[in-house]
Amino acid sequence: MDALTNSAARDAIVEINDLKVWFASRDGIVRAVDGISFDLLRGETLGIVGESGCGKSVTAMTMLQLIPSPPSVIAGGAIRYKGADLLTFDEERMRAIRGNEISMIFQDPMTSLNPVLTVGEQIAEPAVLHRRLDKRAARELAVEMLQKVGIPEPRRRADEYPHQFSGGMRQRAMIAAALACHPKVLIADEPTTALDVTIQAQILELMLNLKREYGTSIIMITHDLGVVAETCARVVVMYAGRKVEEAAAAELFSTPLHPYTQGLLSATPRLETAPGTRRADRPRLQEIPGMVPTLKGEPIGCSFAPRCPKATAICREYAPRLEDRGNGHIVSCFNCGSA
Amino acid sequence: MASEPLLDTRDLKKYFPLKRELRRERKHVRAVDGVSFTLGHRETLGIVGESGCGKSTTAKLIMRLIEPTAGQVWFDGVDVTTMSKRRFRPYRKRMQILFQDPYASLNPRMKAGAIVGEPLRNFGVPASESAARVEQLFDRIGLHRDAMRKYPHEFSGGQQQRLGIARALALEPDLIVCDEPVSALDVSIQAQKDLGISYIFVAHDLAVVQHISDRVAVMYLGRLVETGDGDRLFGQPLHPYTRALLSAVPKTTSTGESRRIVLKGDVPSPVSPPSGCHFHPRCPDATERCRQQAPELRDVGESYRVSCWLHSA
Repeated sequence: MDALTNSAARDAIVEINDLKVWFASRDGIVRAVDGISFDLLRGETLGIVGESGCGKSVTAMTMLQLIPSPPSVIAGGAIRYKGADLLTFDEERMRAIRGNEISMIFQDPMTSLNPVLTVGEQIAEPAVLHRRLDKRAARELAVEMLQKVGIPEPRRRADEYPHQFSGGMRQRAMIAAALACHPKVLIADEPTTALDVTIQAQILELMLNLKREYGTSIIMITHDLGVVAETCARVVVMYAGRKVEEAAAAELFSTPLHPYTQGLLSATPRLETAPGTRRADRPRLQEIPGMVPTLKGEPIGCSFAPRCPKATAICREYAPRLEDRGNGHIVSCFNCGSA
Repeated sequence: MASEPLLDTRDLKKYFPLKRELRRERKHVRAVDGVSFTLGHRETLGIVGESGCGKSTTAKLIMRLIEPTAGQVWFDGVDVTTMSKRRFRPYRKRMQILFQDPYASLNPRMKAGAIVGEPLRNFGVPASESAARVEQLFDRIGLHRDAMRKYPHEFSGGQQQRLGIARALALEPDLIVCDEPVSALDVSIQAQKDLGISYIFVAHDLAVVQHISDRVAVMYLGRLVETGDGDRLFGQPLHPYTRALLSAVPKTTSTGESRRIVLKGDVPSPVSPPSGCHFHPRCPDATERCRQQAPELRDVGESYRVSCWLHSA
């Protein structure tokens, strides 16, 4: 059966269908995103994982048309938000979406915040633009949002500048700005990668609490499998611009089907904190041999085949299709279990 | 009694002076504030902690890349802290350091073979000998000998890390200090463990540290809070900070409801650290005593040491 069309029955707020984002480069076309499809359901947290360069951030940025064109070209596909294709929106209509309906937070809060505006001004900015708040109301909103994200002394802090905030507090401020207009969708691109683990724990807890309060749907983009396991209901695994596997988070980690997902899991050291575990008894980490492909030119066969321990002749000639193996566990591989 | 340790740091301190404010006393960043530990032969010690805890400064102090404010570094039974550059040189040969960013630590205008062979040239190994040695090193790190003629940018991140390892191994050191090497590349280090080298592995990634360390030291605001056997530390941590740190790491094997300890607030400034135990403002179990008096790092049996009033009865 075709796994790509069975989403109609589900309550999807965002539907991405066969999206292709290519970049023109001096030596040819780079297929950064090469036909990806997934749905974000209302109120869910969806994880997108993959190594650097797999196209996860390009997918997210394209949703908000944040990638300049040229060099990027949308070579096909659709991004439906509440049924309307965002790719057909002009700049003016897009602006009504950004920060209002769909918000985004980035990895590095220092470079995403404006150093010459106070934190309060930046938090209220989307609300000033979209809801035409006056100065006083904007400030009140900023203070309220700072309080929501757990910044002590919000009234004083609202008048401070980003450099006066610590890394964790900046990320809180970013979240406050992103949620100021109560968006329906929040895209979080590596939101905790730059933070220490105890601060990461604070930020993840905050995001999940706010999600509960506002009913926001979240797309969580990360390379940290632990973050995905603890925050996401469903996970999409990307490799070389394509989706190779999708499943409920618990299922993906207990029974990964795609050799790439399996490789990714066994290459990641896991922290074991059960008393009595002995290091000497644990398996050694396994490397995935070879390198990520360049994404230049028309790919032939499965893009993971050159690194895949299970690859056969057919993998090098034909690209496998995504198939549903039950319970919405979708995988594209000729050699992992029967279809 | 155990044999002489390879490395012994005694009450190491490093205070970095801050710019003096008008008519005020000069302030210091207390990056490392009294750190003592030993490292045995063939042992791997992991030093963990969050940004600003002083772990990288400790690594640099051991290598004498910076001079300590107080305290000593003993290497193989000798105090190397105040040695002249010249007398230190033979010891420098026996200790090597691997830096965080593999690409930044490789000269982009040198070929890989020359990079790996540079320490040999530095220490006067004749060219005929060093050529063969470099070839061996390439074999050992799993890079093709043809790669000797390539430049650093032609390698992947993992391969660049391997080049750094090859260069560190060139002089057959007794100790390699790894300062935040890129995580998940520990596989190549694991493979080198049979060579009789001791490692100090400074990292914030706890899973990686657990994977490769025999013993672990946890730092917080310039001080050691807990140190000892890795299996014990990860399985039954004693210090409240270690517990919170371990519980904060997201895991792919979630066992139902997570019992996460979420610490409040940020790490305080090392310019004016809290009184008493440095951890007390964020500690869920802090008492009046913790606010006033700093606990010592006490041995609680089997060379396992913890610095906490809860465990000093």
